[in-house]
Amino acid sequence: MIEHLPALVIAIPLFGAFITPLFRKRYNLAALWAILISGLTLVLVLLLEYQVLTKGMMIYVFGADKPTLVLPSGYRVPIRIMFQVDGIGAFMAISAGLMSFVGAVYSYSHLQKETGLEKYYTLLLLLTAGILGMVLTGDLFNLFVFLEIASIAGSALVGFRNYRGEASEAGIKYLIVSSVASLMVLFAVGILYGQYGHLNLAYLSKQITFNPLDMIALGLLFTSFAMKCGSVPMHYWVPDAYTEVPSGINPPLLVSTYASLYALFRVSFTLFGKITIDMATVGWIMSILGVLTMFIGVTMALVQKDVKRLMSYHAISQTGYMLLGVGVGLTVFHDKQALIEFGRTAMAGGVFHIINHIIYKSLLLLTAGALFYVTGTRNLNEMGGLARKMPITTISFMVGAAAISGIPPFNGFASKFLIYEAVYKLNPLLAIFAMVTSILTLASFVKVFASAFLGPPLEKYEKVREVPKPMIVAMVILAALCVLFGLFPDFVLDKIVYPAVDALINFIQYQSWGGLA
Amino acid sequence: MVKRILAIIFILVIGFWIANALAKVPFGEDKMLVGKYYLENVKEQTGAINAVTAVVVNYRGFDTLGEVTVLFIASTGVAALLWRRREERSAEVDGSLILKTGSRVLLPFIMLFGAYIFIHGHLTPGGGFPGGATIATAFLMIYLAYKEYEIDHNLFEPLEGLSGVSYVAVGLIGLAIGGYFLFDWIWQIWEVGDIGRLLSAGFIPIIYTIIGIKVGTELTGIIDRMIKESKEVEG
Repeated sequence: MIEHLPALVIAIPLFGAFITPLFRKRYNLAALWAILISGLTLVLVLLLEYQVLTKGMMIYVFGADKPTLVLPSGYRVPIRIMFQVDGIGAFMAISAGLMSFVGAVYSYSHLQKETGLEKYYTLLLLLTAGILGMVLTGDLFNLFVFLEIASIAGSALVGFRNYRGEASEAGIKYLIVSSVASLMVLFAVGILYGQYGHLNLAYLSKQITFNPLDMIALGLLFTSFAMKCGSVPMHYWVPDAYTEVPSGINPPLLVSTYASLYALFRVSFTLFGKITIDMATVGWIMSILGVLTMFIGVTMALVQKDVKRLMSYHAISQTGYMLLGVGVGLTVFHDKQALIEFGRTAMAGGVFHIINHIIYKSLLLLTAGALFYVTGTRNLNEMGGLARKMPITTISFMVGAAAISGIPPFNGFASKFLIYEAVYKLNPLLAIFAMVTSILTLASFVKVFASAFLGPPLEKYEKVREVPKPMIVAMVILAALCVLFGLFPDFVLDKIVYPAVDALINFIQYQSWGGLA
Repeated sequence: MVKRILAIIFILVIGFWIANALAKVPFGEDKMLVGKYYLENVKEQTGAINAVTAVVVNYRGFDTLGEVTVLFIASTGVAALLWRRREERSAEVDGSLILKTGSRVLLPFIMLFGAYIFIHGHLTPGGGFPGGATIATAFLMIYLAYKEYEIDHNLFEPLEGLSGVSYVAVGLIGLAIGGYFLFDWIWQIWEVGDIGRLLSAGFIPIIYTIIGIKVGTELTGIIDRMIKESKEVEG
């Protein structure tokens, strides 16, 4: 059974999603079903990660045995679609499994007043399946198919509160950005298929010659994935989408954004990995985009009054850290000495920041959802004095805010510190920008804390009580992870982050399907 | 205005660059790698005469599962987004007697034709997607002719989900019997059917029937959602 894990990880959420509409108006059952299925998926991805860590890369060919077509050179090529699960893929899969579970638990009570919920849970499970497919696949066209699944499901969920005009607008915006991005990906896939006659990522990365057409393909793929992960200057859809989506979907939607970031890394490191000269330029572009993204994101966040919108701008800004960390690694990718000296550390910082950010930003957005749940508003100026009424939400918020500002001993500190340290060795200026951003982040969250939780209790919130248990459970899980990851960063780094980084660096291993060819 | 001119110039430069790059590709060169393999092995490996179908359903069946899912999301998404504003049809009069009778008589034939397309997907051009779309046009016609007609939602919505479940189930049966998800156990292990006959090509007809039902119900569902207009919009 173990060798079928990659297929089951996709089949289970798909199966669950197709069953969900049958619950019709029995919303509680549908919610429990979604929690069950996403919990099962979480268990499966954890098993998958364990397998990948102990036995190495997993190959799964759909509908046939291992690679079948033998080329004259003796290199065996798979004819069918295959999943190729390595460290980074499994790393992203854990994030997806965890966050869809947390999202489903949270939604159980957060959405009790809404209707049409069986569709909501169907879309939640499909979003999960789409993300998992994107990060596990080893086939370029399959990546496009799952990108479509994730983005269409995501945009339907963004517009789910269709009685709000803003939600429909955000949904349409997300849909348009996603379609443009997926069309560009499709064009690039067409260019590559036309030249090399195959869609397998590993095969393509071995054959690629970097002629002008390949450059166009790289440009298209880079642009579209950067667009989908909310990097400046294509960040405008992020605040709208994150603000309007029901809070329970925020965690999986964040992961879906970073699945595009994963695809960006996969394209730069694996698909075009053997191009030695020009990738340093791409690395510089990625780092500078990262710095711009973090700085512009945080300055926009400072002036926001809507609590979720403010956090969404911080999400943009934090994406910059990941781009910066991994971009620095890409800059020195072919310079062995610099790579060992600081490149690998920078990439570890960037990759570690992905999961850290997913955890604490989901936590923050969930607390924002809790505030909205009790007050009915997202405007910070109308809130106040909620700390006594909602102690657990307050503590969760404090943990999340401390983590995002990079205060020890929370998880944000661990990854940001790695990034500062390694980036400083490439260029001190970049590191200074990163630190300034961190200080501005702290300033902005102090403002949120003061205006929402502190101050005299307001009369209109006299009867406010702590949010229902499922929402508390979801927030406490994430807060606990924030603290645990911050207290034992070495454990997380050694167990899941460095294997992921090494999977990106060691593209030769990827090209040979873990030694199969 | 300046912005627009700049945009046009920018697009022209990019277009020139891409055209330049494409011009260097030799024309008509045979670069088929997997394509050749498909053509040479399609009959013995899948039992289908229609090589396109074999690629879509058998070799790249997992992508097709993904595409079916995309359509399912589209239908669920439309339903979720139009959930509260499905009110009433805006048509003021019914169709004429000729239109009504004609569409009633034609309905079974169109559906039969749709079923024919998806059942014979492995033999003739066509398959589950066009077959399902044909079935949906039959319902579209009824919707246009009859003002008060509405599909039975208790039947259509579960059917969408059930056909999706059966697709995944076919994949899982393949896993149980043949050892791989979406393994064609009917052709490769049971060896049922002769090439070129209706009973051949392993699980392709089964999957295409599932897809046909799924696409038909989903497109009909989308038509149903879109043809109704809310009262607020009208005034």
